Amino acid sequence: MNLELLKEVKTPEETAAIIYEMLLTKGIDVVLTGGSCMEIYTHSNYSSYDLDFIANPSIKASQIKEIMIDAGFEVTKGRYFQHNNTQYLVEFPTGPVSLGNEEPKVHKELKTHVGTLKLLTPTNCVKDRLCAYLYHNGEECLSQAIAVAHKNEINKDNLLKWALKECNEMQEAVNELFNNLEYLDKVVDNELIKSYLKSKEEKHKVDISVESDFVLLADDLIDDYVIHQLLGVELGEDIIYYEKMEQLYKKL
Amino acid sequence: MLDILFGSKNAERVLQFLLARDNAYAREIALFYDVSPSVIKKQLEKFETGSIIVGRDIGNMRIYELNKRNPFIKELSALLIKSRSTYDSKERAKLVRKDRSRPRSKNKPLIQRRDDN
Repeated sequence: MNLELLKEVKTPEETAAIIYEMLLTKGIDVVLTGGSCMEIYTHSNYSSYDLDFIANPSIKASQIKEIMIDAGFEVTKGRYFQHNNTQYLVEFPTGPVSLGNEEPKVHKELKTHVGTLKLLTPTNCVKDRLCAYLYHNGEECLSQAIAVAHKNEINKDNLLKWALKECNEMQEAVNELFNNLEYLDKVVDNELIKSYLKSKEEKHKVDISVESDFVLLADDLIDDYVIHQLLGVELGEDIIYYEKMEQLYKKL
Repeated sequence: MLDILFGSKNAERVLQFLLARDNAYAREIALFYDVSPSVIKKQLEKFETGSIIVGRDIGNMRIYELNKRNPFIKELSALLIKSRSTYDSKERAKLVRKDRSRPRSKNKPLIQRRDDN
């Protein structure tokens, strides 16, 4: 695999596919995990330029290091690799792939125009984000899980069974995710948006009929996927988001 | 807007940052606003003396937060929120959007891109 191609591609899936194919030709089978799977499944306009690949635990870290260096990557003081042709930082966290207590064996093969890539399935990507939400207090990860579940087909039964084996808090998180998803299946009007905002009152300790509380909630939901979908605003379009929230308050 | 009332721009900044992020240390606030840590420290110490904020030591860092036991904290917060709502949208979003706090490999830089920026 010609790594000169890294210069030509921009998306995480293309970049990851080039690296995946290069490793595969050297006999190293890896799976892409973590936040970049979410970026791929949601076609996110946000990127943290991280590509986390997990190799089969039988493969030694020194083998991977040698292949990556041969391919022109530089190894840094941390455990990640950099290449002059790409901004992405490649890391090989210690395996196996784990989603809480589960070690998934089935992964998704995604075809791109520069090659194939093996990554978490959308359902497993949701589990990964929920783990980050619950176990690492990554509040934004719930929103990411909802976005993946909304934009892709996921296996809800499998997700529920997995949560049951995890812990009570994970079951609550999955229920929260399902409750949020329901809003995205309905016809959007001001009443629906109001009911969504009211559903957030308890968690965010606000009363949306009070102006300062409404303002506070608008700030708290700055990266909330559902409210952005209901308002028809892309995540990150902050100026439009605030304008629409202000108009909404006057209408409610 | 509240700088006149609080005595300086950095005084308002300190309170706005603590309200938006729940807690912070002096250098973090200084980096956010691109000002000298000493001016932020001065404001933090002033508000701590006045019991408007409280601090605690973690390692060699002093972490501050609004003093939830202050009798005026509800009114002060409402004032700050009102003032924040008049900020330019980009500035307001930058202030309220919390930094990533999930675990990350040691020494690994965090590059974040948003296509609209």
